[in-house]
Amino acid sequence: MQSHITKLFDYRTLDIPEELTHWRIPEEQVQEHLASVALRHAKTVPADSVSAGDAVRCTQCGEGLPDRSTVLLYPGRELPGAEQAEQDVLHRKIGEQFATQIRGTACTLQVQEILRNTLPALDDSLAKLEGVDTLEQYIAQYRGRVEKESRENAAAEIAIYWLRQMSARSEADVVENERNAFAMKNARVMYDRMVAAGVDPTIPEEGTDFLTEEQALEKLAEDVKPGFFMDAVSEMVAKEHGTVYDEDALEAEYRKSAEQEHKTVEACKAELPPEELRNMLYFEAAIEILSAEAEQYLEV
Amino acid sequence: MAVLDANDTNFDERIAGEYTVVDFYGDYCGACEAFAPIFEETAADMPFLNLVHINVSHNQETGRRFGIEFIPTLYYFRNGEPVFHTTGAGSKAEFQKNLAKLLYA
Repeated sequence: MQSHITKLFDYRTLDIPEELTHWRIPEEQVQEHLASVALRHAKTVPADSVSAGDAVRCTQCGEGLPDRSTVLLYPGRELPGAEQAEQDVLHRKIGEQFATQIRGTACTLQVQEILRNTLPALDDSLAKLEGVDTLEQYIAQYRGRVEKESRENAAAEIAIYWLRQMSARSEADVVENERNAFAMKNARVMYDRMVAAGVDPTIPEEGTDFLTEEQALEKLAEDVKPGFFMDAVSEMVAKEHGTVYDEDALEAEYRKSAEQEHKTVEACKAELPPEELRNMLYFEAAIEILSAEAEQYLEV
Repeated sequence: MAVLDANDTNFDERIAGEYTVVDFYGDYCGACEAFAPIFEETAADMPFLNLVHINVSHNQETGRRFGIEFIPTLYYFRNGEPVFHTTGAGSKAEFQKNLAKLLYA
């Protein structure tokens, strides 16, 4: 790369955004966790009539929905397309037929089976199902485990914030073609990953006019540009603290990956070329170094 | 209902139901670990849906059969035939949206 940093920005001059200093988990998250533990231990029993929260297996009577003999309904979940049917199935009994619509298509369904989850109480009995004596002890263990990780993540977020600011604000000689090529390449990767994950990148953040693919890529490219020097900055930070990845170190990493993933070293190199591995290792080292420094800025 | 475990040998049997979602995951995959609780909770909350997972680090034949390059990848089946697939962990809301697509589209 011909572009290079001429003077590294001093991240210690930055004020850290207050939201990055939070790591304690709210009570709401504890309650959500307990609800999901209770769901894991739920017993599924048959029911006679449909209530919200049940699962309902219906068959279709006559025409209406093509290619579908069984229709599953989950009243209360508000699944897109089934909102009306979720309402119409409430209080129905087994064998009962009812008219409704799925994705705007009228149909008649007959209830065949109703299943209901019965949840354990949120008390010491739930804790015992998880191998702990009391609910209070279970919550304390959960908080201890999750808050340790939450604190580490918060410190890493501050480290990433510092690296991004260094990448965006350092003095540098920039070859614009190089930066534009970097931005478009990464924008394309992000665009394809969003599409693969079922997220439409052409939906605008504001307004109602959808973006073209080209406009969406340009927007993603602008978002990515400040990260142009992330690799260079990570390497500088790591080397300042005595961490260097030479060819021997890279080979050792490839041998470790090959053993863990049951592949050959050559296959690992084909999947992640040496330059990319090097960048990844320097990034991880920089995060570790800066996270240790970031700890002091976390909320007490 | 619990998430069913599949392997190269029993995979076709596992996806034979009317509505099945398969989570292709692997070892040393943070995104797979992040998505697993969402998948397990959905299995408990939505009986009648057949939720299956298969570790492609140890079941490479099935991974190759479905061209799995990124993990996690979710495949949505109807009567044993693939209807569509998505890659990446995604949120619970996105997963519910895709379940609705399988069930009602």
